[in-house]
Amino acid sequence: MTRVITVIGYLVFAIAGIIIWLATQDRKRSTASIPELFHRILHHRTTRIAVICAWWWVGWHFLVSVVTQADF
Amino acid sequence: MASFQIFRGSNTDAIIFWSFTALLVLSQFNLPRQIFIAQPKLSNNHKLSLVFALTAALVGIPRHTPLYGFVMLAIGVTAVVLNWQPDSGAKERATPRVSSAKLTWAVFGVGLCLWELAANVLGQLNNTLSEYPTISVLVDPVLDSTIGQAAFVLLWLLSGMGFLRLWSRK
Repeated sequence: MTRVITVIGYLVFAIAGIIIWLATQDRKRSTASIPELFHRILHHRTTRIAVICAWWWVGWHFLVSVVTQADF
Repeated sequence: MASFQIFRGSNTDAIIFWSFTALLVLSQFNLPRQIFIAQPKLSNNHKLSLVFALTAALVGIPRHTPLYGFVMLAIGVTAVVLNWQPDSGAKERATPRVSSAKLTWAVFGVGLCLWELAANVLGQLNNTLSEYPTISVLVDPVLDSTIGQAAFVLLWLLSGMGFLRLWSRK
């Protein structure tokens, strides 16, 4: 049961992310789209390096780090 | 964040996060101010070829091996070095639309991290990965297949180039 609730939580976040992404595509909206946001925040080198670190760690974590898999 | 990796039992990740912190401190103190005097330029076709070559390498090399780690490390170092150029011009004022987007995605990101953190902590306390699976526990079986791994690597590389707006640079 806790497994189902945990997975539903991730699905809710995934769906919410897609909804926010789609909703912000319209330039008339009060919230900027992701490209507009990144255009603004990547101006600073430290923010740029932080974004690279976050992106790179996602790759490292999923592709290199060993995940101990449970027997389902 | 780095100290949490020790709680997770991952000393490698702790070293990585401390290295990230060191990089951000160096950047903030402008050390070094820049690495390349002239920024290397690649056409979009060259960038796309590079993405496909890296995808082939990262699918061909067995995961969890030192060679795989070395290639990943090389990608990370290259990405940092190529983006070390100083800030260009004066900072634009954040518009209300950008501020709203920052807040929206910050709430989203923090919420997702807290959910993942809760799953990780409860899983460790429960001594099982199946009852409170983290995202990596769910995704790892997909990455064990060649197609899943190729799709993930391709998306990861393209998203990185997209985040850094590399497609728009001529």
